[in-house]
Amino acid sequence: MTGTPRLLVIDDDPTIREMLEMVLDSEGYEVVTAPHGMAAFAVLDQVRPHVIILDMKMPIMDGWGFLERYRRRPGARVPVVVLTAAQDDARRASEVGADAYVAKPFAIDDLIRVLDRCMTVSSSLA
Amino acid sequence: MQPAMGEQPDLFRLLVESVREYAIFLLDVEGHVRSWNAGAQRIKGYNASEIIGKHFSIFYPASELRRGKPEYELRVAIEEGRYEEEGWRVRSDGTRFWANVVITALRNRDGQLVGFAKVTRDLTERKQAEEERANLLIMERAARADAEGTLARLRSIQQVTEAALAHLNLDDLLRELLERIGDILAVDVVSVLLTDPDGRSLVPEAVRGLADDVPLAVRIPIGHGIVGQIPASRQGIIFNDLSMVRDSDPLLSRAGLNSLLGAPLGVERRVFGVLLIGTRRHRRFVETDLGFLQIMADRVALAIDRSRLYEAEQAARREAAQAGYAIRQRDAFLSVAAHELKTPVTSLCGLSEWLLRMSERGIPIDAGRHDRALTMMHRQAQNLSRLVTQLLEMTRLDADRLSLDRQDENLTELVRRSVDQAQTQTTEHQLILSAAPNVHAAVDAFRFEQVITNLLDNAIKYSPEGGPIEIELRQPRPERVRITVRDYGIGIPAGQEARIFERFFQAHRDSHRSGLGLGLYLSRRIVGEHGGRLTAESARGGGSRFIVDVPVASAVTAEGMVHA
Repeated sequence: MTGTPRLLVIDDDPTIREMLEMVLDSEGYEVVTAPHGMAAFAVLDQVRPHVIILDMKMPIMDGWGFLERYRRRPGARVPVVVLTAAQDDARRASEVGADAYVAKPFAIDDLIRVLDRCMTVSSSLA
Repeated sequence: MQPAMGEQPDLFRLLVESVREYAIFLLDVEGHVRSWNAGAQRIKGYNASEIIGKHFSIFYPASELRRGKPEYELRVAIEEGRYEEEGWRVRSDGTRFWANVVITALRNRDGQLVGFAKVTRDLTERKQAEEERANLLIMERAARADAEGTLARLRSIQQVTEAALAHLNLDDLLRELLERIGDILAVDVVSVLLTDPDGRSLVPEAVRGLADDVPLAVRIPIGHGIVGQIPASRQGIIFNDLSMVRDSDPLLSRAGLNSLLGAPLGVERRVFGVLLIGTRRHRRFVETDLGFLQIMADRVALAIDRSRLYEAEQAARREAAQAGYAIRQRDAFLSVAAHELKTPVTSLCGLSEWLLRMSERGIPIDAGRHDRALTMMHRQAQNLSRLVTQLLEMTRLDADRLSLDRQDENLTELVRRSVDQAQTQTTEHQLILSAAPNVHAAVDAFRFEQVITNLLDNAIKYSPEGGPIEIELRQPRPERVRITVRDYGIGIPAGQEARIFERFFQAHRDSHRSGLGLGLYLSRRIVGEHGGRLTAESARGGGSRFIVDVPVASAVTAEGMVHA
């Protein structure tokens, strides 16, 4: 992997999007955000993230809708970390192809650890 | 008959005298016995020497003599030539026999009456046989009627039993039972009265055959009056003439009943009502009728008992189902509430931890980002506080009504404040207020602001693409105020315009973070407490429109407590 690791954060709550931007920027990530799955697909090819951070309950296209469509997409896929407040969402997310799960609220170190692990997978894919 | 031979009259006399089966004798014109034969002696018991010369009325019972029967018979024989009848006659020993009697008037060649020939047959045996047969016939008929009656009653009981088993619902059951019993017993009125829960009085539960204007909201104290004593004594009653008591009883007098039969309704030793039947015409009810009614009453009682058990079981089931629903609803709500609370907590934890990390690491944060982080934390703390308030309010609302402190408020200012406040939370939406100046109304300012803020928050939340949100304040009539909030967002799912006001209801439960499902529920209650209405509609061209319609003055204005 060369250059700065890039993340695509998909969450409908603007405060959480901005908070994740601040936190992860300070940790050396480049962060792009989208308010729902549909908006994420619009920027996906342009951003070419190494890891996707995904909320589940969103308008327009929710986490499940995003995962389903993302899985069917041709070409290489990057790891998806589900970041959700509901326990059963995490279980269902893994069933539809999420790679990791972090519960809201989270400790920054926990999130970084999961992201680092995914990053390793992602770079081996690249 | 012409005597053709010299010996013929003697032969003839011999013939007559020796006939034993018939009494054949002559009477003179006055009715005295002139001749006698063996048959007469056998049948009537007199010998010739005793009877010849006696008047023939001696053969008649005293009752016939008093009516002048012998004279009448002779008169008929004279006028018509012949008299015939069957009737009771008396023997010499005073016993009676049933006789066939023919009296023929005898006249000479000139047509002058010379006497009477009387022929009598003893038909007692035949008569007895006839009577016996008639008696047998009567007895047979009675026995058959009895059997048919018993069969009819058995059939009736079977019908009532069938009706009793046909329904589990008490109303249906009683309607059918009363109809059957009324038909079977051919009575005008049938009624079931049941003891009320306190066990002190009887209340009509079902009545058949009374006009609609007869009042049924009567209570008959148990132990008093004709009907009231039935459950107390556990005995049926027969009342064949109600005219004496009817005037003092409004129900009986309106029903116009004359005869009444009543039986207690009970299962085992529990008496819980009365079965009454009544007729408008006078009818003589007897013990058998009461016995029959009691058989019916026992079946009715069993059916009522069974129906009550069934209904109690159904009620218990419904209650359990409702409790189950309430528990599921509460569980779903708690899961939503936890999710909603976690959203601001996630931002607060993340931002505060980030600030601490940076400070620990000695990495400076530029002033703009620092301020931004603190502003976001503050707003999330406020959100959290609002959610907690809503939760508390919900539990309070379960217990009692909202208490409003209504004062004269400038709604134009109030709405403008709410709009300005809401605008600070978003840059993607443009809140456009169009308000009539200085509209006043008697409202609870805190609660009313809660409603407007909630509607604005919803409009923002459900317009994820941003865009305009239009707020209008109008006074269409001097006494009404109308506030409209219109957005161009995702709108209300079709057919759910009413449901969105239900507690915990979330129209976009699966696709969207919808909050606690309390905001609209609370808002509608607040508007309702103001005497107004909060409604929602899908707006043409997308999005939704919420309309608050409240009266300018509260209902208490008349009492001078609020001056709008």
